[in-house]
Amino acid sequence: MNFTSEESKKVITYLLFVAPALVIYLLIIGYPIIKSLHLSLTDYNVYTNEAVWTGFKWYTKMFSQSEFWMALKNTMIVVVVSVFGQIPIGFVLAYILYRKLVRFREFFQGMVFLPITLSMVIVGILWLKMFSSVGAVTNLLRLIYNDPEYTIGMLSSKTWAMVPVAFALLWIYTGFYMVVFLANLQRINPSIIEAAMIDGASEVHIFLKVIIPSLSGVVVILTIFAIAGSLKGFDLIFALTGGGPSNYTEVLTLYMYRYAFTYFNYSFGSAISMVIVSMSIVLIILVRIIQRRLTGPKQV
Amino acid sequence: MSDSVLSEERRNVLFKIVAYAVFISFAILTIFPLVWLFYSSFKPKLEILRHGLALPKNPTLQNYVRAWELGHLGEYAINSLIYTFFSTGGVIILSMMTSFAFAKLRIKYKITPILYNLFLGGLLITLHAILIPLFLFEIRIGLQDTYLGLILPYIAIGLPFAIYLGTEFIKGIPDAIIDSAKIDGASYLQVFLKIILPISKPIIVTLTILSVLGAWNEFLLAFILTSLKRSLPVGIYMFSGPLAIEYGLQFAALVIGLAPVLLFYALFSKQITRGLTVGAIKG
Repeated sequence: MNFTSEESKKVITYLLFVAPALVIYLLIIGYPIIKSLHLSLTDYNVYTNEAVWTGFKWYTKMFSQSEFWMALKNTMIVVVVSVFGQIPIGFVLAYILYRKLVRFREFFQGMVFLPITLSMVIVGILWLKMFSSVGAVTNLLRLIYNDPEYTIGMLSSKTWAMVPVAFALLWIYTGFYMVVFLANLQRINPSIIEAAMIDGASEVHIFLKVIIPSLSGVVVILTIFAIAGSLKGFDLIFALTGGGPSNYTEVLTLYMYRYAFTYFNYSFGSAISMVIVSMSIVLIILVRIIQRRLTGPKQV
Repeated sequence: MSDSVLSEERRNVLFKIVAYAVFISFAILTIFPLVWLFYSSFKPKLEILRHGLALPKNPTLQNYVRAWELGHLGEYAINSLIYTFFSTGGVIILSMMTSFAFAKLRIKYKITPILYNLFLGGLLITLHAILIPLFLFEIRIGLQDTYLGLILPYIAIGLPFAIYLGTEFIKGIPDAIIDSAKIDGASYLQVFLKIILPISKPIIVTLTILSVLGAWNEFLLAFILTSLKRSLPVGIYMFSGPLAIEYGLQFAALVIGLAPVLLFYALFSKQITRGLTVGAIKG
Protein backbone atom coordinates (compact mmCIF):
# COMPACT_ATOMS: atom_id res chain seq x y z
CA MET A 1 0.00 0.00 0.00
CA ASN A 2 1.34 3.36 -0.97
CA PHE A 3 -0.22 6.09 1.15
CA THR A 4 1.19 8.93 -0.86
CA SER A 5 -0.27 7.64 -4.11
CA GLU A 6 -2.55 9.89 -6.09
CA GLU A 7 -5.59 7.71 -5.34
CA SER A 8 -5.13 7.78 -1.57
CA LYS A 9 -4.56 11.54 -1.64
CA LYS A 10 -7.82 11.82 -3.47
CA VAL A 11 -9.62 9.60 -0.96
CA ILE A 12 -8.24 11.57 1.99
CA THR A 13 -9.22 14.89 0.38
CA TYR A 14 -12.68 13.48 -0.31
CA LEU A 15 -13.14 12.45 3.30
CA LEU A 16 -11.85 15.75 4.69
CA PHE A 17 -14.08 17.74 2.35
CA VAL A 18 -17.26 15.76 2.95
CA ALA A 19 -16.92 14.92 6.65
CA PRO A 20 -17.73 18.30 8.26
CA ALA A 21 -20.99 18.74 6.34
CA LEU A 22 -21.91 15.10 6.81
CA VAL A 23 -21.33 15.14 10.57
CA ILE A 24 -23.41 18.29 11.10
CA TYR A 25 -26.14 16.96 8.82
CA LEU A 26 -26.36 13.57 10.52
CA LEU A 27 -26.27 15.13 13.99
CA ILE A 28 -28.89 17.84 13.40
CA ILE A 29 -31.18 16.16 10.85
CA GLY A 30 -30.36 12.46 10.63
CA TYR A 31 -30.38 11.60 14.31
CA PRO A 32 -33.43 13.74 15.26
CA ILE A 33 -35.58 12.30 12.48
CA ILE A 34 -34.98 8.75 13.72
CA LYS A 35 -35.31 9.89 17.33
CA SER A 36 -38.59 11.57 16.45
CA LEU A 37 -39.97 8.31 15.08
CA HIS A 38 -38.79 6.54 18.23
CA LEU A 39 -40.33 9.15 20.56
CA SER A 40 -43.65 8.87 18.76
CA LEU A 41 -43.82 5.17 19.63
CA THR A 42 -42.99 5.64 23.31
CA ASP A 43 -44.02 7.37 26.51
CA TYR A 44 -41.15 9.76 27.07
CA ASN A 45 -40.22 11.15 30.47
CA VAL A 46 -38.07 14.29 30.17
CA TYR A 47 -36.78 14.18 33.74
CA THR A 48 -35.51 10.60 33.69
CA ASN A 49 -34.85 10.61 29.92
CA GLU A 50 -36.62 7.24 29.78
CA ALA A 51 -38.82 6.15 26.92
CA VAL A 52 -41.31 3.33 27.49
CA TRP A 53 -42.51 1.54 24.35
CA THR A 54 -46.20 2.17 23.67
CA GLY A 55 -46.61 1.10 20.05
CA PHE A 56 -49.10 3.16 18.09
CA LYS A 57 -50.92 4.58 21.14
CA TRP A 58 -50.27 8.24 20.23
CA TYR A 59 -51.31 7.70 16.64
CA THR A 60 -54.63 6.14 17.65
CA LYS A 61 -55.16 8.93 20.15
CA MET A 62 -54.46 11.49 17.43
CA PHE A 63 -56.85 9.97 14.89
CA SER A 64 -59.62 9.87 17.51
CA GLN A 65 -59.24 13.58 18.33
CA SER A 66 -61.53 16.04 16.59
CA GLU A 67 -58.71 18.61 16.92
CA PHE A 68 -56.58 16.50 14.58
CA TRP A 69 -59.28 16.43 11.92
CA MET A 70 -59.80 20.18 12.27
CA ALA A 71 -56.06 20.76 11.82
CA LEU A 72 -55.99 18.36 8.87
CA LYS A 73 -58.93 20.16 7.27
CA ASN A 74 -57.27 23.57 7.69
CA THR A 75 -53.97 22.23 6.35
CA MET A 76 -55.83 20.91 3.31
CA ILE A 77 -57.45 24.34 2.85
CA VAL A 78 -53.95 25.82 2.76
CA VAL A 79 -52.83 23.18 0.24
CA VAL A 80 -55.88 23.88 -1.96
CA VAL A 81 -55.39 27.66 -1.78
CA SER A 82 -51.75 27.18 -2.77
CA VAL A 83 -52.28 24.70 -5.59
CA PHE A 84 -55.53 26.10 -7.05
CA GLY A 85 -55.08 29.75 -6.04
CA GLN A 86 -51.44 30.81 -6.04
CA ILE A 87 -50.43 28.73 -9.06
CA PRO A 88 -53.20 29.87 -11.48
CA ILE A 89 -53.06 33.51 -10.34
CA GLY A 90 -49.27 33.39 -10.55
CA PHE A 91 -49.63 32.12 -14.11
CA VAL A 92 -52.06 34.88 -15.08
CA LEU A 93 -49.70 37.53 -13.70
CA ALA A 94 -46.75 35.96 -15.52
CA TYR A 95 -48.72 35.80 -18.76
CA ILE A 96 -49.64 39.50 -18.50
CA LEU A 97 -45.96 40.35 -18.05
CA TYR A 98 -44.88 37.98 -20.83
CA ARG A 99 -47.31 39.46 -23.36
CA LYS A 100 -46.30 42.97 -22.17
CA LEU A 101 -49.92 43.97 -21.49
CA VAL A 102 -48.83 46.47 -18.84
CA ARG A 103 -46.04 49.01 -18.54
CA PHE A 104 -43.80 49.40 -15.47
CA ARG A 105 -43.34 45.62 -15.54
CA GLU A 106 -40.23 45.61 -13.36
CA PHE A 107 -41.96 47.69 -10.72
CA PHE A 108 -45.09 45.52 -10.71
CA GLN A 109 -43.11 42.29 -10.63
CA GLY A 110 -41.03 43.66 -7.77
CA MET A 111 -44.09 44.61 -5.75
CA VAL A 112 -45.82 41.24 -6.21
CA PHE A 113 -42.65 39.37 -5.26
CA LEU A 114 -41.69 41.57 -2.29
CA PRO A 115 -43.81 39.96 0.49
CA ILE A 116 -42.05 36.60 0.17
CA THR A 117 -38.73 38.17 1.21
CA LEU A 118 -40.13 39.46 4.52
CA SER A 119 -40.28 37.74 7.90
CA MET A 120 -43.62 35.90 8.01
CA VAL A 121 -43.99 36.55 11.73
CA ILE A 122 -43.58 40.29 11.26
CA VAL A 123 -45.95 40.24 8.28
CA GLY A 124 -48.47 38.32 10.40
CA ILE A 125 -48.27 40.87 13.22
CA LEU A 126 -48.55 43.73 10.71
CA TRP A 127 -51.75 42.29 9.21
CA LEU A 128 -53.15 41.70 12.67
CA LYS A 129 -52.56 45.39 13.43
CA MET A 130 -54.12 46.38 10.08
CA PHE A 131 -57.34 44.58 11.05
CA SER A 132 -57.29 45.70 14.71
CA SER A 133 -59.44 48.56 16.05
CA VAL A 134 -56.66 51.10 15.29
CA GLY A 135 -55.77 49.46 11.98
CA ALA A 136 -55.93 50.94 8.50
CA VAL A 137 -58.43 48.40 7.15
CA THR A 138 -60.82 48.90 10.05
CA ASN A 139 -60.63 52.68 9.74
CA LEU A 140 -61.12 52.53 6.00
CA LEU A 141 -64.26 50.44 6.46
CA ARG A 142 -65.45 52.87 9.18
CA LEU A 143 -65.25 55.65 6.62
CA ILE A 144 -67.03 53.59 3.99
CA TYR A 145 -69.83 52.44 6.32
CA ASN A 146 -69.87 55.82 8.07
CA ASP A 147 -69.89 53.97 11.40
CA PRO A 148 -67.08 55.04 13.80
CA GLU A 149 -67.67 51.99 16.02
CA TYR A 150 -67.29 49.40 13.25
CA THR A 151 -64.92 46.50 14.02
CA ILE A 152 -63.82 43.57 11.88
CA GLY A 153 -64.89 40.27 13.36
CA MET A 154 -63.49 37.97 10.71
CA LEU A 155 -60.33 36.91 12.55
CA SER A 156 -62.35 36.00 15.64
CA SER A 157 -65.15 34.26 13.74
CA LYS A 158 -65.12 30.48 13.74
CA THR A 159 -66.71 30.37 10.28
CA TRP A 160 -64.63 33.05 8.59
CA ALA A 161 -61.21 33.08 10.28
CA MET A 162 -59.60 30.93 7.56
CA VAL A 163 -60.55 33.54 4.91
CA PRO A 164 -58.02 36.22 5.99
CA VAL A 165 -55.44 33.48 6.44
CA ALA A 166 -56.00 32.22 2.89
CA PHE A 167 -55.97 35.78 1.60
CA ALA A 168 -52.64 36.54 3.29
CA LEU A 169 -51.16 33.32 1.86
CA LEU A 170 -52.26 34.31 -1.65
CA TRP A 171 -50.79 37.77 -1.26
CA ILE A 172 -47.46 36.46 0.02
CA TYR A 173 -46.69 33.50 -2.24
CA THR A 174 -48.29 34.26 -5.61
CA GLY A 175 -45.20 36.27 -6.63
CA PHE A 176 -43.03 33.17 -6.39
CA TYR A 177 -45.18 31.27 -8.91
CA MET A 178 -45.38 34.33 -11.13
CA VAL A 179 -41.58 34.62 -11.38
CA VAL A 180 -41.12 30.90 -12.10
CA PHE A 181 -43.83 30.89 -14.79
CA LEU A 182 -42.38 34.03 -16.34
CA ALA A 183 -38.90 32.52 -16.53
CA ASN A 184 -40.35 29.47 -18.27
CA LEU A 185 -42.51 31.50 -20.65
CA GLN A 186 -39.46 33.51 -21.67
CA ARG A 187 -37.69 30.27 -22.56
CA ILE A 188 -40.24 29.51 -25.29
CA ASN A 189 -38.60 30.14 -28.62
CA PRO A 190 -40.41 33.15 -30.17
CA SER A 191 -39.84 31.79 -33.66
CA ILE A 192 -42.20 28.88 -32.87
CA ILE A 193 -44.96 31.37 -32.09
CA GLU A 194 -44.15 33.43 -35.17
CA ALA A 195 -44.26 30.33 -37.36
CA ALA A 196 -47.63 29.37 -35.91
CA MET A 197 -48.94 32.88 -36.59
CA ILE A 198 -47.74 32.75 -40.20
CA ASP A 199 -49.58 29.43 -40.52
CA GLY A 200 -52.69 31.34 -39.46
CA ALA A 201 -53.05 29.99 -35.95
CA SER A 202 -55.25 32.09 -33.69
CA GLU A 203 -54.15 33.62 -30.38
CA VAL A 204 -56.20 31.03 -28.47
CA HIS A 205 -54.78 28.23 -30.58
CA ILE A 206 -51.20 29.34 -29.87
CA PHE A 207 -52.00 29.61 -26.18
CA LEU A 208 -53.45 26.10 -26.02
CA LYS A 209 -51.08 24.29 -28.41
CA VAL A 210 -47.76 26.05 -27.84
CA ILE A 211 -47.72 27.77 -24.48
CA ILE A 212 -49.68 25.40 -22.23
CA PRO A 213 -47.84 22.19 -23.28
CA SER A 214 -44.46 23.84 -22.72
CA LEU A 215 -45.41 24.53 -19.10
CA SER A 216 -46.65 21.09 -18.01
CA GLY A 217 -43.31 20.16 -16.46
CA VAL A 218 -43.02 23.31 -14.42
CA VAL A 219 -46.61 22.96 -13.16
CA VAL A 220 -45.66 19.61 -11.63
CA ILE A 221 -42.63 21.10 -9.89
CA LEU A 222 -44.64 24.06 -8.65
CA THR A 223 -47.37 21.78 -7.34
CA ILE A 224 -44.74 19.92 -5.33
CA PHE A 225 -43.39 23.23 -4.00
CA ALA A 226 -46.91 24.33 -3.09
CA ILE A 227 -47.73 21.10 -1.24
CA ALA A 228 -44.43 20.93 0.61
CA GLY A 229 -44.61 24.62 1.49
CA SER A 230 -48.20 24.38 2.72
CA LEU A 231 -47.46 21.48 5.03
CA LYS A 232 -44.44 23.30 6.47
CA GLY A 233 -46.17 26.67 6.96
CA PHE A 234 -46.24 27.85 10.55
CA ASP A 235 -44.99 31.40 11.18
CA LEU A 236 -47.69 33.39 9.43
CA ILE A 237 -50.68 31.63 11.01
CA PHE A 238 -48.92 31.51 14.37
CA ALA A 239 -48.54 35.30 14.36
CA LEU A 240 -51.84 36.12 12.65
CA THR A 241 -54.34 33.96 14.54
CA GLY A 242 -52.26 31.66 16.76
CA GLY A 243 -54.62 28.92 15.55
CA GLY A 244 -57.64 30.65 17.07
CA PRO A 245 -60.46 31.35 17.64
CA SER A 246 -60.12 28.23 19.84
CA ASN A 247 -58.53 25.93 17.24
CA TYR A 248 -60.49 26.94 14.17
CA THR A 249 -57.48 28.08 12.14
CA GLU A 250 -55.07 25.56 13.58
CA VAL A 251 -53.01 23.72 10.96
CA LEU A 252 -51.05 20.51 11.69
CA THR A 253 -47.82 22.36 12.49
CA LEU A 254 -49.56 24.54 15.09
CA TYR A 255 -51.35 21.50 16.51
CA MET A 256 -47.98 19.81 16.91
CA TYR A 257 -46.46 22.93 18.47
CA ARG A 258 -49.32 23.17 20.97
CA TYR A 259 -48.95 19.61 22.21
CA ALA A 260 -45.16 19.61 22.28
CA PHE A 261 -44.34 23.08 23.58
CA THR A 262 -47.35 24.21 25.58
CA TYR A 263 -48.53 20.83 26.98
CA PHE A 264 -44.98 19.37 26.94
CA ASN A 265 -46.17 16.08 25.51
CA TYR A 266 -43.10 15.39 23.38
CA SER A 267 -44.17 11.90 22.33
CA PHE A 268 -47.53 13.03 21.05
CA GLY A 269 -45.90 16.02 19.33
CA SER A 270 -43.46 13.66 17.62
CA ALA A 271 -46.31 11.48 16.40
CA ILE A 272 -47.95 14.55 14.85
CA SER A 273 -44.69 15.58 13.18
CA MET A 274 -44.34 12.07 11.73
CA VAL A 275 -47.81 12.41 10.19
CA ILE A 276 -46.80 15.76 8.64
CA VAL A 277 -43.65 14.29 7.06
CA SER A 278 -45.46 11.20 5.79
CA MET A 279 -48.19 13.34 4.24
CA SER A 280 -45.60 15.50 2.54
CA ILE A 281 -43.81 12.49 1.07
CA VAL A 282 -47.04 10.72 0.03
CA LEU A 283 -48.50 13.81 -1.66
CA ILE A 284 -45.27 14.46 -3.56
CA ILE A 285 -45.13 10.85 -4.79
CA LEU A 286 -48.81 11.12 -5.76
CA VAL A 287 -48.15 14.22 -7.88
CA ARG A 288 -45.29 12.38 -9.62
CA ILE A 289 -47.53 9.38 -10.35
CA ILE A 290 -50.31 11.58 -11.73
CA GLN A 291 -47.77 13.35 -13.89
CA ARG A 292 -46.43 10.04 -15.29
CA ARG A 293 -50.00 8.91 -16.04
CA LEU A 294 -50.75 12.14 -17.87
CA THR A 295 -47.58 12.63 -19.86
CA GLY A 296 -46.04 9.19 -20.09
CA PRO A 297 -42.65 8.30 -18.63
CA LYS A 298 -40.76 11.53 -19.12
CA GLN A 299 -37.94 13.04 -17.16
CA VAL A 300 -38.77 16.43 -15.69
CA MET B 1 -63.58 43.59 -41.88
CA SER B 2 -63.10 46.94 -40.14
CA ASP B 3 -65.76 45.78 -37.70
CA SER B 4 -63.74 42.76 -36.59
CA VAL B 5 -60.59 44.89 -36.29
CA LEU B 6 -62.48 47.27 -34.07
CA SER B 7 -63.79 44.51 -31.83
CA GLU B 8 -60.32 43.03 -31.56
CA GLU B 9 -59.00 46.43 -30.58
CA ARG B 10 -61.72 46.72 -27.99
CA ARG B 11 -60.90 43.31 -26.65
CA ASN B 12 -57.25 44.29 -26.35
CA VAL B 13 -58.18 47.44 -24.45
CA LEU B 14 -60.36 45.38 -22.14
CA PHE B 15 -57.48 42.92 -21.55
CA LYS B 16 -55.20 45.81 -20.72
CA ILE B 17 -57.64 47.33 -18.26
CA VAL B 18 -58.01 43.99 -16.48
CA ALA B 19 -54.23 43.51 -16.52
CA TYR B 20 -53.62 46.90 -14.95
CA ALA B 21 -56.38 46.39 -12.39
CA VAL B 22 -54.84 43.09 -11.25
CA PHE B 23 -51.31 44.43 -10.93
CA ILE B 24 -52.34 47.72 -9.33
CA SER B 25 -54.35 45.78 -6.72
CA PHE B 26 -51.35 43.61 -5.89
CA ALA B 27 -49.05 46.65 -5.72
CA ILE B 28 -51.45 48.48 -3.38
CA LEU B 29 -51.72 45.41 -1.16
CA THR B 30 -47.95 45.44 -0.81
CA ILE B 31 -47.29 49.17 -0.57
CA PHE B 32 -50.23 50.38 1.49
CA PRO B 33 -49.62 48.34 4.70
CA LEU B 34 -45.93 49.26 4.65
CA VAL B 35 -46.55 52.97 4.08
CA TRP B 36 -49.32 53.06 6.70
CA LEU B 37 -47.07 51.24 9.18
CA PHE B 38 -44.21 53.63 8.49
CA TYR B 39 -46.05 56.91 9.07
CA SER B 40 -48.10 55.49 11.94
CA SER B 41 -44.89 54.61 13.76
CA PHE B 42 -44.21 58.35 14.22
CA LYS B 43 -47.62 59.08 15.77
CA PRO B 44 -48.14 59.68 19.48
CA LYS B 45 -50.52 57.27 21.23
CA LEU B 46 -53.62 59.48 21.16
CA GLU B 47 -53.33 60.14 17.45
CA ILE B 48 -53.11 56.42 16.75
CA LEU B 49 -56.24 55.74 18.81
CA ARG B 50 -58.28 58.64 17.41
CA HIS B 51 -57.19 58.93 13.78
CA GLY B 52 -56.11 55.52 12.53
CA LEU B 53 -55.60 56.61 8.92
CA ALA B 54 -54.36 60.18 9.28
CA LEU B 55 -50.76 61.24 8.84
CA PRO B 56 -48.97 62.22 12.06
CA LYS B 57 -49.76 65.76 13.18
CA ASN B 58 -47.04 65.90 15.82
CA PRO B 59 -44.49 63.36 14.60
CA THR B 60 -42.34 61.87 17.36
CA LEU B 61 -39.39 59.51 17.59
CA GLN B 62 -40.43 58.44 21.11
CA ASN B 63 -41.94 55.18 19.84
CA TYR B 64 -38.59 54.15 18.41
CA VAL B 65 -36.62 55.21 21.47
CA ARG B 66 -38.90 53.30 23.84
CA ALA B 67 -39.31 50.23 21.62
CA TRP B 68 -35.55 49.99 21.18
CA GLU B 69 -35.00 50.10 24.97
CA LEU B 70 -37.99 48.11 26.25
CA GLY B 71 -37.77 45.47 23.55
CA HIS B 72 -33.96 45.05 23.71
CA LEU B 73 -34.14 45.29 19.92
CA GLY B 74 -30.54 46.43 19.52
CA GLU B 75 -29.28 43.36 21.33
CA TYR B 76 -31.54 41.07 19.29
CA ALA B 77 -30.49 42.73 16.04
CA ILE B 78 -26.85 41.97 16.89
CA ASN B 79 -27.79 38.37 17.70
CA SER B 80 -29.58 38.11 14.37
CA LEU B 81 -26.50 39.44 12.59
CA ILE B 82 -24.33 36.83 14.32
CA TYR B 83 -26.74 33.98 13.45
CA THR B 84 -27.02 35.17 9.86
CA PHE B 85 -23.32 35.76 9.28
CA PHE B 86 -22.01 32.49 10.70
CA SER B 87 -24.73 30.24 9.34
CA THR B 88 -24.33 31.73 5.86
CA GLY B 89 -20.55 31.35 6.00
CA GLY B 90 -20.91 27.79 7.29
CA VAL B 91 -23.41 26.74 4.64
CA ILE B 92 -21.30 28.14 1.82
CA ILE B 93 -17.93 26.77 2.91
CA LEU B 94 -19.22 23.31 3.83
CA SER B 95 -21.54 22.93 0.85
CA MET B 96 -18.91 24.03 -1.67
CA MET B 97 -16.34 21.62 -0.20
CA THR B 98 -18.84 18.76 -0.30
CA SER B 99 -20.05 19.69 -3.77
CA PHE B 100 -16.49 19.73 -5.09
CA ALA B 101 -15.84 16.27 -3.66
CA PHE B 102 -19.12 14.93 -5.07
CA ALA B 103 -18.68 16.48 -8.51
CA LYS B 104 -14.96 16.10 -9.18
CA LEU B 105 -13.24 13.66 -6.81
CA ARG B 106 -14.05 10.33 -8.41
CA ILE B 107 -12.76 7.86 -5.86
CA LYS B 108 -12.88 4.11 -6.37
CA TYR B 109 -15.40 3.52 -3.55
CA LYS B 110 -18.84 4.25 -4.99
CA ILE B 111 -20.17 6.22 -2.05
CA THR B 112 -20.92 9.54 -3.79
CA PRO B 113 -24.42 8.62 -5.06
CA ILE B 114 -25.37 7.28 -1.62
CA LEU B 115 -24.16 10.37 0.24
CA TYR B 116 -25.57 12.75 -2.36
CA ASN B 117 -29.02 11.18 -2.10
CA LEU B 118 -28.75 11.19 1.69
CA PHE B 119 -28.34 14.97 1.56
CA LEU B 120 -31.10 15.38 -1.05
CA GLY B 121 -33.43 13.44 1.25
CA GLY B 122 -33.16 16.42 3.58
CA LEU B 123 -35.22 18.42 1.10
CA LEU B 124 -38.24 16.25 1.96
CA ILE B 125 -37.88 16.72 5.71
CA THR B 126 -39.92 19.44 7.36
CA LEU B 127 -38.48 21.38 10.24
CA HIS B 128 -41.19 20.11 12.56
CA ALA B 129 -39.95 16.54 12.19
CA ILE B 130 -36.63 17.36 13.87
CA LEU B 131 -37.76 20.09 16.24
CA ILE B 132 -38.58 18.09 19.36
CA PRO B 133 -35.54 15.76 19.44
CA LEU B 134 -33.26 18.66 18.55
CA PHE B 135 -34.67 20.74 21.41
CA LEU B 136 -34.34 17.88 23.94
CA PHE B 137 -30.85 17.04 22.67
CA GLU B 138 -29.65 20.65 22.92
CA ILE B 139 -30.99 21.01 26.44
CA ARG B 140 -29.24 17.81 27.52
CA ILE B 141 -25.82 18.81 26.17
CA GLY B 142 -26.17 22.47 27.16
CA LEU B 143 -26.32 23.84 23.62
CA GLN B 144 -29.75 25.42 24.00
CA ASP B 145 -29.69 29.24 24.14
CA THR B 146 -26.14 29.47 22.78
CA TYR B 147 -25.06 30.99 19.47
CA LEU B 148 -23.72 27.66 18.26
CA GLY B 149 -27.00 25.96 19.23
CA LEU B 150 -28.85 27.93 16.58
CA ILE B 151 -26.07 28.37 14.00
CA LEU B 152 -25.51 24.59 13.63
CA PRO B 153 -29.18 23.84 12.85
CA TYR B 154 -29.29 26.73 10.38
CA ILE B 155 -26.26 25.29 8.62
CA ALA B 156 -27.69 21.75 8.61
CA ILE B 157 -31.01 22.92 7.17
CA GLY B 158 -29.29 24.97 4.48
CA LEU B 159 -26.95 22.17 3.39
CA PRO B 160 -29.22 19.92 1.27
CA PHE B 161 -30.28 22.59 -1.20
CA ALA B 162 -26.83 24.22 -1.24
CA ILE B 163 -25.16 20.87 -1.97
CA TYR B 164 -27.70 20.16 -4.69
CA LEU B 165 -27.06 23.50 -6.43
CA GLY B 166 -23.31 23.37 -5.82
CA THR B 167 -22.83 19.83 -7.13
CA GLU B 168 -24.89 20.47 -10.26
CA PHE B 169 -22.90 23.63 -10.92
CA ILE B 170 -19.42 22.20 -10.33
CA LYS B 171 -20.24 19.18 -12.53
CA GLY B 172 -20.45 21.67 -15.39
CA ILE B 173 -16.87 22.87 -14.89
CA PRO B 174 -14.67 21.09 -17.48
CA ASP B 175 -12.36 18.39 -16.04
CA ALA B 176 -9.57 19.63 -18.33
CA ILE B 177 -9.08 22.76 -16.23
CA ILE B 178 -8.63 20.69 -13.08
CA ASP B 179 -6.43 18.08 -14.77
CA SER B 180 -4.02 20.64 -16.17
CA ALA B 181 -3.70 22.32 -12.77
CA LYS B 182 -2.99 18.91 -11.23
CA ILE B 183 -0.29 18.26 -13.83
CA ASP B 184 1.27 21.61 -12.90
CA GLY B 185 1.55 20.25 -9.38
CA ALA B 186 -1.41 21.90 -7.66
CA SER B 187 -2.94 20.08 -4.68
CA TYR B 188 -6.69 19.41 -4.46
CA LEU B 189 -6.98 22.17 -1.88
CA GLN B 190 -5.34 24.62 -4.27
CA VAL B 191 -7.58 23.48 -7.10
CA PHE B 192 -10.59 24.06 -4.86
CA LEU B 193 -9.49 27.49 -3.63
CA LYS B 194 -7.96 28.89 -6.82
CA ILE B 195 -10.11 27.34 -9.55
CA ILE B 196 -13.42 25.97 -8.27
CA LEU B 197 -14.40 28.78 -5.89
CA PRO B 198 -13.73 31.67 -8.31
CA ILE B 199 -15.64 29.94 -11.12
CA SER B 200 -18.52 29.17 -8.73
CA LYS B 201 -19.05 32.82 -7.86
CA PRO B 202 -22.57 33.04 -9.36
CA ILE B 203 -23.79 30.04 -7.37
CA ILE B 204 -22.13 31.39 -4.22
CA VAL B 205 -23.96 34.70 -4.65
CA THR B 206 -27.27 32.83 -4.99
CA LEU B 207 -26.55 30.69 -1.93
CA THR B 208 -25.56 33.76 0.09
CA ILE B 209 -28.85 35.49 -0.69
CA LEU B 210 -30.90 32.38 0.13
CA SER B 211 -29.03 31.77 3.34
CA VAL B 212 -29.01 35.39 4.55
CA LEU B 213 -32.75 35.81 4.00
CA GLY B 214 -33.47 32.38 5.46
CA ALA B 215 -31.49 32.96 8.66
CA TRP B 216 -32.51 36.58 9.12
CA ASN B 217 -36.24 35.77 8.81
CA GLU B 218 -36.27 32.36 10.52
CA PHE B 219 -38.62 32.20 13.47
CA LEU B 220 -39.60 28.78 14.80
CA LEU B 221 -36.15 27.34 15.57
CA ALA B 222 -34.99 30.59 17.14
CA PHE B 223 -38.22 30.72 19.16
CA ILE B 224 -37.74 27.19 20.51
CA LEU B 225 -33.96 26.99 20.82
CA THR B 226 -33.20 30.37 22.43
CA SER B 227 -34.50 32.04 25.57
CA LEU B 228 -32.11 34.97 26.16
CA LYS B 229 -30.13 35.03 22.91
CA ARG B 230 -33.22 35.82 20.88
CA SER B 231 -33.14 36.80 17.25
CA LEU B 232 -34.92 39.92 16.01
CA PRO B 233 -38.12 38.23 14.74
CA VAL B 234 -38.49 36.35 18.05
CA GLY B 235 -37.83 39.54 20.02
CA ILE B 236 -40.47 41.41 18.03
CA TYR B 237 -42.96 38.58 18.44
CA MET B 238 -42.42 38.45 22.21
CA PHE B 239 -42.70 42.22 22.32
CA SER B 240 -46.13 42.08 20.65
CA GLY B 241 -47.66 40.10 23.52
CA PRO B 242 -47.41 42.04 26.80
CA LEU B 243 -47.38 45.45 25.12
CA ALA B 244 -50.18 44.79 22.64
CA ILE B 245 -51.97 48.06 23.46
CA GLU B 246 -48.82 50.14 23.03
CA TYR B 247 -49.51 50.41 19.32
CA GLY B 248 -46.88 53.06 18.66
CA LEU B 249 -44.10 50.88 20.11
CA GLN B 250 -45.39 47.91 18.15
CA PHE B 251 -45.35 49.85 14.91
CA ALA B 252 -41.82 51.09 15.57
CA ALA B 253 -40.64 47.56 16.35
CA LEU B 254 -42.20 46.22 13.14
CA VAL B 255 -40.49 48.95 11.10
CA ILE B 256 -37.17 48.08 12.71
CA GLY B 257 -37.76 44.43 11.84
CA LEU B 258 -38.76 45.09 8.22
CA ALA B 259 -36.36 47.88 7.27
CA PRO B 260 -33.16 45.83 6.77
CA VAL B 261 -34.84 43.36 4.41
CA LEU B 262 -36.63 46.12 2.49
CA LEU B 263 -33.30 47.89 2.02
CA PHE B 264 -31.65 44.63 0.96
CA TYR B 265 -34.48 44.05 -1.52
CA ALA B 266 -34.27 47.60 -2.89
CA LEU B 267 -30.57 47.09 -3.61
CA PHE B 268 -30.56 43.51 -4.88
CA SER B 269 -34.12 42.75 -6.00
CA LYS B 270 -32.97 41.02 -9.21
CA GLN B 271 -30.50 38.74 -7.44
CA ILE B 272 -32.97 38.02 -4.62
CA THR B 273 -35.76 37.14 -7.05
CA ARG B 274 -33.43 34.84 -8.97
CA GLY B 275 -32.01 33.30 -5.82
CA LEU B 276 -35.36 32.46 -4.24
CA THR B 277 -36.78 30.88 -7.39
CA VAL B 278 -33.70 29.11 -8.73
CA GLY B 279 -34.76 25.74 -7.31
CA ALA B 280 -38.03 25.75 -9.21
CA ILE B 281 -36.62 27.22 -12.40
CA LYS B 282 -33.65 24.90 -12.71
CA GLY B 283 -35.64 21.79 -11.75
